[in-house]
Amino acid sequence: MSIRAYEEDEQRWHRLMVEAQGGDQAAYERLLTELGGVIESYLRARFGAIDALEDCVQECLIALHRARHTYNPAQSFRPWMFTIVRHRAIDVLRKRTSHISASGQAAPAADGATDPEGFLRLLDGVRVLEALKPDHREAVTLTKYAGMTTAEAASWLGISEGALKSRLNRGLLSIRRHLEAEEGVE
Amino acid sequence: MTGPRRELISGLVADLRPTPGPGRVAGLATLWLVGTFTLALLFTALTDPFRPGSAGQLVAHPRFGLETLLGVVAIVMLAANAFRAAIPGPGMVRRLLLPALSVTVLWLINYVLGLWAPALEPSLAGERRHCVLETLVYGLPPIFAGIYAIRRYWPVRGWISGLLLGLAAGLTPALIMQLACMYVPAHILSHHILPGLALGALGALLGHFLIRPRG
Repeated sequence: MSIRAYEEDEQRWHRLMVEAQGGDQAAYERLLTELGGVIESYLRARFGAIDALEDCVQECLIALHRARHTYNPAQSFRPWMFTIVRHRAIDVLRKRTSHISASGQAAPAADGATDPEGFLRLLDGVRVLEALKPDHREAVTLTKYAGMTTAEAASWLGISEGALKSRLNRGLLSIRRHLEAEEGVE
Repeated sequence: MTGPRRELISGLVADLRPTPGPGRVAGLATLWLVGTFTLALLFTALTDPFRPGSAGQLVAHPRFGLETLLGVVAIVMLAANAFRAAIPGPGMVRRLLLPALSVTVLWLINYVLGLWAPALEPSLAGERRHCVLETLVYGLPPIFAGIYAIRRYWPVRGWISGLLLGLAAGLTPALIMQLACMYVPAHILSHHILPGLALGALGALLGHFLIRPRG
């Protein structure tokens, strides 16, 4: 994306959000529609082939809706939006992990072999995974990519389920920190 | 775009109501701060008299006056940034937490230095019997009031808001004790500042559990 397009998006989203804060439904619909695509691309680029990508996108849109009164027109739009999106996405991933772990259900695996788009998503996700420690990367990969339950992944690695959960949580926390550092949040 | 997402967006659009924006957050922080100071001043005055001549000492002893002024600046920064942290944005630690903590540390260092070179001649004049308890008790209600107010926004890092809020709420009565209780740096550190810092820790803990983004 060129700097000009980047600036144009920023100004347009800013304007649409200000209009939406004033109650303009058409502006708000256009804004959410555009942001839905942006959030989807963002999540794909940073998390790769996570399951429930669409759930994540929708949760982020709901979060933006609930936080819309906190947007300050004097500030830039992107930092505000991505702070909410990052926070919500990590929250959703954590909840899904604990849900899968509690119910013993396996997460749907990312099928990079049969789905070319999925394979590209996998490659995107590698960038984030590379930032993790090997132990944490294994935990994230087995549960979030290979679709194992925490019990299965723990058995596979020959460790306790508690240890696996701890690695998984730390891995997700590292991803969050990595993304925050990347975006200059902290 | 998927069908469910289209339906969701339609639902959110239908739910849209005009919102005022976060402009009031500064006003809310000011209101909270004024309330916190008023509460602490009022209860301190009602419990026991202030140290005789303490107001005059602010002018007569410039270092004591500056020490007090630095305390006021630190508390204002802590309170303002506690509320600003409830608005999503980048650089929460770098932009909000560290500056407020730095000024606070700068203020508190004065009392540590005072162990060797106090701003006022140490004296037992104005001694209060329950200053520790007073600091703790007067600082508690503002913490809960602040948490209630901050939850109306979208605080991403609840513990940061809670920590700043707790420190501001706890150090306000501690600062007032500077005028109300005896001036002995060791006593100030152990009986006024320490309880104030403890409320900061409590605020961080409460913030972690109670200050969460809605939904």
